[in-house]
Amino acid sequence: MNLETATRYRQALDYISSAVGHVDARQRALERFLASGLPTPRLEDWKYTALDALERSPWHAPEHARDALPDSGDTPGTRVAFGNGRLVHTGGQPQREHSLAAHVDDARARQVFDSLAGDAALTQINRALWQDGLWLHVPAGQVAPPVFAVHYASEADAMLHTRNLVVLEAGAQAVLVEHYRGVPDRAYWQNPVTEIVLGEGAHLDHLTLTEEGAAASHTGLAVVRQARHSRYSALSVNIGGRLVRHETRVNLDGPHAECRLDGLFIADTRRHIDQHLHVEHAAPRTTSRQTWRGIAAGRGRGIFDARVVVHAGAQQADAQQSSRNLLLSPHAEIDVKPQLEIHADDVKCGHGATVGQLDEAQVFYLRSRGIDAVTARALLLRAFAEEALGWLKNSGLAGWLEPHLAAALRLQEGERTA
Amino acid sequence: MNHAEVSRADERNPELASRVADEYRWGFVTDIEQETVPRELNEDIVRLISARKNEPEFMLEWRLRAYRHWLTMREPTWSSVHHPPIDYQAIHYYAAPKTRTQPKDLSEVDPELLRTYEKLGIPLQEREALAGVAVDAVFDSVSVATTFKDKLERLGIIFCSFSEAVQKHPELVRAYLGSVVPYTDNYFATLNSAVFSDGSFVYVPKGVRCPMELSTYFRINARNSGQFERTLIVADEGAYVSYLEGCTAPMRDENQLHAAVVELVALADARIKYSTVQNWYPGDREGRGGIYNFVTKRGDCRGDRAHISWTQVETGSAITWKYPSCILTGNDSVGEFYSVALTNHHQQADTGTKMIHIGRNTRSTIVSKGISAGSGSNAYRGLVKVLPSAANARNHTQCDSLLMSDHCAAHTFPYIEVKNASATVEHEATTSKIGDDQLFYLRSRGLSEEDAVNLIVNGFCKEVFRELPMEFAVEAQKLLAVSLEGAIG
Repeated sequence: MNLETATRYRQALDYISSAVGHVDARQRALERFLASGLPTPRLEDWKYTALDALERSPWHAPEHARDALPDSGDTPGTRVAFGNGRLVHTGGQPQREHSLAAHVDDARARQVFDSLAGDAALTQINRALWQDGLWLHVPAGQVAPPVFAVHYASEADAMLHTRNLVVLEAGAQAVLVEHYRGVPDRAYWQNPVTEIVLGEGAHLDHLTLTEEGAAASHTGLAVVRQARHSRYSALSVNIGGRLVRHETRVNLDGPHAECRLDGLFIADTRRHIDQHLHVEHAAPRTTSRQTWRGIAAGRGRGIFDARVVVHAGAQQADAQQSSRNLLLSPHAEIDVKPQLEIHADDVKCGHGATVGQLDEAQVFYLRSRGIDAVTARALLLRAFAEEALGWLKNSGLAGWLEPHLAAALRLQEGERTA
Repeated sequence: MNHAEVSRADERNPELASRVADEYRWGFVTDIEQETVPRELNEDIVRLISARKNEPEFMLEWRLRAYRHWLTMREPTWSSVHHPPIDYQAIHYYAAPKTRTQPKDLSEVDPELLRTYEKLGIPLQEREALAGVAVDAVFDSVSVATTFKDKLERLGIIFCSFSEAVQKHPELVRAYLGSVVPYTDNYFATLNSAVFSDGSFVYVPKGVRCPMELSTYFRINARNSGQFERTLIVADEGAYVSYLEGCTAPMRDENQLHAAVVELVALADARIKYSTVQNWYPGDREGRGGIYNFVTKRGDCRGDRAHISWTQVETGSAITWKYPSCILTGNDSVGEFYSVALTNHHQQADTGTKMIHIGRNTRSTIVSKGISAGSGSNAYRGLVKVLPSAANARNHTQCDSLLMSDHCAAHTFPYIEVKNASATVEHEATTSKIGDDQLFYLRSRGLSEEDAVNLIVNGFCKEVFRELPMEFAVEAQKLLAVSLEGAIG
């Protein structure tokens, strides 16, 4: 990392240091980040994604929180809004009880905060520069109303290192929607880190919609730790941004823990979407399911890299991955890397991955029923995307997601293949 | 001047370095006469190997370029295999170390090895040869080999050792050597390019169908093939050849590191079928000893409608690191990879393939079966890459792993990269153990546990065995049974 770039990051920390706590720890994280620099494609996990554009951009800490957010549609449950990395008013009161900055020194938050995030370079810079994010704590046995968190970016060249922490105590249940979005024409960088701790028997449904502006970069990390009998259902919908790289890591630490990591991505125009999943089966009788559907069109590029590790002793682990992808234009690209790493014998693990096109026979069938070619293709694409939406259909969130999805499926004009 | 100084001089002033090296080379001549080449690796050793084999200038140049490139490389660490560091200076790069430790007769050979031969039903004389016993009059295979040679020569097929090819057909060697696996390819292939001692060379002329399976086993000088083997097979337009490598019986071998290179070139309408049964010494039950097998194998379907097929059964070696690959350059060309890899005790295998689709309508099939028992570790690592030019490319991949103990490991690391919208790529993988119900069923029909396991394992591998030449397939089944002995129960 050259001196000029390093100076920018140091200035960013200086700029926020009067408003945040734990400056010493932030300083240390910053130095570690500067020492290692941004990851490069020389690292196996970054093989398909180069951050050169990120490296060159003149990032600074956000200077103004935005008060008037665009309408996010009819959102279910409690709405918590962050504008340029800080909690903002949304009509009524800002939801202070959901601000991590306000609660990070609470006894419960302190026990788990930063215990899962790890020490990758992008996590270090988040650790150094985060200002706020979602704090969701559901006490034992309670069922929380759905929480809807929007992370909105509007400032050019701003980097937003949001930090979220979700803790569900034993038997608690919650529904969380995260919506990452921003203005279409400004280059900004969102780098959220989310830690999720699920107690015994806790259930979390988690929908993440990444719908960044067309010039934006998004690098995200979510780390989940699951105790016995807990259940984590996640759906990632990646339909925006110029460069997106998201990683989800799940540790199935207790017996009978199960997770479902589904996803859908649409890489049209020049979008680059790189998704990583990493599941550790560390206890016996744990289950993981991954169902991903991807569409690449225009000059888009979609990457799906998923790794399932079954530890020695994690007998009767059950892991299934499915990744199906459509490649719709001559300049688009799909890269898939489904991996299994197994150190036990009594397991059921499998994966399937395909890359192909829309079935012409299906298009023909629809056309023979009087449906025009464009509509026929749109129908088939919609049906294809639907396969990834599994658990969402029964959650009451499908209606909210629908218009976003419909817009994204109308692939960018001129990028669709005939 | 010691070698460290030579290499330092090399960095500063290449001309000076080469003069120094030249001078030093003469110093070695007496060494050659005494048959004692020091255990080390430097330019002099490379020059010595080339001089000893009386190679033309272009070969020496090529070896030296490879060696100099090798010095700039680092040993790869990305695979899933683990081993203590290899001291590349402590290897005899030329002398055949076998001769020093050759047993005089079978009574000096490890009885474990002999029992295995017996189970595999290998004739006594062959057992001696395999165990490395010095056999003066090489038995039948000499005459067999000679008859074969006559027949092949009449068809214009060249089948000889690499050294012989360098002498007799330098134009062919020069045209094709390194054209599929360049000397810069990877750490082990580059080392091989610098120091390879011998290997096989096959050229099948236009339109000729080779009437028999070619095998190193029938080549007179195959016996001391050495640890840095290099094979080059060229099938000219419309030619067909089936090549068998290795042997189903365990090979007694003193060399720990094996770094071989195999290059296949198939021109238009040519077909090459390459089958391997690898059963080098896997080390003992505790994981001591055993061969480190780091092999680079690659075929180039250079012409339209060319077809290359790799079939491998890997049961030996402490470490297997190989990825027989196909570059599908020609339109309508076909690449196939069928593999069974078995790891027992402390064996490690990291194997798979690369299918690079470049031409239109290219097709590839990958069937990989991994079996892990004991503390064995087995990884499939493969790449299917469809370039923008490869319209209508098609790939199907099936990877299955069978787990036979609670402390073995099985990994699957496929890479799929598609840059053409008319391509169809499918990948499927499963990992499971032998079902208790399957075992129970077979045992209730009166099969012993061992027979039941063998039956299930053979069924699991059937798709691959089907691709092997018949006699190989039968032996491969026996071999699996022997390798898995004691893995269950």
